[in-house]
Amino acid sequence: MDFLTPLIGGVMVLDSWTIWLVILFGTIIGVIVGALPGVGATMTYGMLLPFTFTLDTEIAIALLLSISVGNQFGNSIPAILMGIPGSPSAILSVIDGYSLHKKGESGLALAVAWIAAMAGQAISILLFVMMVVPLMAMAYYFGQPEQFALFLLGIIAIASMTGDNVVKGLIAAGIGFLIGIVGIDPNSPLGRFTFDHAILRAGFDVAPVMIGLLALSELFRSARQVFRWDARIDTETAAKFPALWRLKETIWPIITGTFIGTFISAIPGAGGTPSSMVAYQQAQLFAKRPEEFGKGSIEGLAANEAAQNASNSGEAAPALALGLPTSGSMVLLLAALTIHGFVPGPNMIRQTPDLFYAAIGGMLGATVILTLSGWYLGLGMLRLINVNRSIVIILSIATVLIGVYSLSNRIFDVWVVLACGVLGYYMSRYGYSVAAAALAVVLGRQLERSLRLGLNLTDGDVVAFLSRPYTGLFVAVTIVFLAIGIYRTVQMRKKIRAKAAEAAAVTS
Amino acid sequence: MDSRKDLILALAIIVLGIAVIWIAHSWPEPLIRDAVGPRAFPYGLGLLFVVGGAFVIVQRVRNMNAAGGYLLPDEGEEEEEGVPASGLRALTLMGLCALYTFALNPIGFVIATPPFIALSLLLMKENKPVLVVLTSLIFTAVTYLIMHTLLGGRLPPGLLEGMLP
Repeated sequence: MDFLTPLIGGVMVLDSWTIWLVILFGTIIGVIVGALPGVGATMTYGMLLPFTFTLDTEIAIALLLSISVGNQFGNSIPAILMGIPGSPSAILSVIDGYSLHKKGESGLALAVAWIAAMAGQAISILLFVMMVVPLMAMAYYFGQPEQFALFLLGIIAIASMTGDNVVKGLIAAGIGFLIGIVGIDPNSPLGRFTFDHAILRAGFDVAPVMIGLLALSELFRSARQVFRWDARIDTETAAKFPALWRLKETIWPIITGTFIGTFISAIPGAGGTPSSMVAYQQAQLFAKRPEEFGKGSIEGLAANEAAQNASNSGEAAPALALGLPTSGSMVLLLAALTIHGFVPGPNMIRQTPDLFYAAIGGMLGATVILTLSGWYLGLGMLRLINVNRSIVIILSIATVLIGVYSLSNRIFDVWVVLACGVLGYYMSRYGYSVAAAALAVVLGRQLERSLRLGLNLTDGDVVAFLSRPYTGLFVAVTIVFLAIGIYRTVQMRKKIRAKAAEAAAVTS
Repeated sequence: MDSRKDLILALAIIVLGIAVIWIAHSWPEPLIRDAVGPRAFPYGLGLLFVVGGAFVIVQRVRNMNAAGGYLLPDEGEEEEEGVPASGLRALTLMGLCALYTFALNPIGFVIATPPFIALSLLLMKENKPVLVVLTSLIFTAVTYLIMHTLLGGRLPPGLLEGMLP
């Protein structure tokens, strides 16, 4: 496939009013949930995912990705105007954006965030195509061993990178595997962990498990604290769009931020937050006025904002091209595709390129909507801070429970989402990565199947299985990720010991 | 973080690991030739839980000895600073969700949902009666309408079987 075909395909997706309405809805919802601290794209995906069952697959993908696009812009609005990040990836927007706001430059900060988000998103769609097309071509060479090694890489990377303790990350992935293998064995008629219950023979549906682990658990965690976002902030602001010449120095940080955001967020276990941090640090290195970073630098803000929006494209690339999600929302995107009967993996979009076109169309359409309405949406979101947080949490929980019921009209699924929500709550409370567990649920069954079929094909010869070029490469990268995880765990232990020694010295 | 709870969780993981190995061991040999077999993955997972759980326990005990107490820096998700957190509230909310799930089929969505939302809001210290009642009723009505008219779904009618549009 050439690079132009997907772009034309993406534009062609946007040929009806229905798709535009869906994308408009997704973008606005994305901006709203982005602007609400504590409600992110992953939680919104979790709430809306059951309802995507009634939509065409392409429309569902476009809807979910337009939510991500809106979300990465929306999360910066409270960060800039109130010093509260709408989601973790907007933490750096607080540093420079809020400093600008305090200096009376709210309009400049909002304009930089808006233009960087738009430009970052638009350019990153081109980079998305440039990443996915070669990955699709690579998938031709993927057999069972390559698929096994690829999925192993994805799971180990997330287990190693998304917590402070790699052992807990691996245990979390193990719990995900265990949930995933319940049901009939892929190679024989044996029922595993079914306890002679007919309903368990088909295994757990992926969607309720995912929604429970990633969205409901987070809602339970949010319910631990009762407070109002508007209690300590002034929501009155008068932001005016600045003169265009003032935005000239953001051009280069936007371009570099977009490249960094796209490529770093495509790495398993990385995602939007680290990519925006790297983009920010890189922008400081080459900035005209590096001394302003942290005190209200528009270059820093631009690089960070562009990287955040570019991460939407970066995260979607491995998720769609290889079936390897790198973030919670992409795990849920794949869960949505499984509801529609697709099997996540390297052959998914090679066999159904319409999914690829829908992703491009969704992000493209959302960028257009953000361009036309982003400035006004941003200003309007200020009022959202007055929304009662407790009501948001409780109604979100009710929506999740009812949404999951509506998937197959089964109370069993509601029990599953509830059990997984409780499990995810305790896992995240004690440092066991729910993202690793969720990914292992989605990929675990196929990972086992690939290993077993692959080893059967090589007559049980492990060396022949692992010595294929791509398999060897993926296994080597897996070992590197594991080593990074071990290093991070050791560093964390040293930190704990140092803190403990400090506390002991103070008490003595 | 209270390390004692972390220790209990690690112990539970070890027990889970032993149970997984025990259950997998009871499965019959597959009739089809298979280089790995259906037990290999569960055995591996069981081993991971036992060894990993034991590792976490050793790590915790050593850190507790170094810290001279059971309170250690958090390894889990951070919370909003300066706002007291209540695990009991989260636990009660989970209980309410379980009761709601129990009630959903026999009582039905329309009857079960308003009290569930009202009680959950009261639990979240939302004490304005009008707000609580209106939120519960409006959410129930809007969700019912969306599910039935827009999405063509079916919510459990329960006691109102045949009485709802």
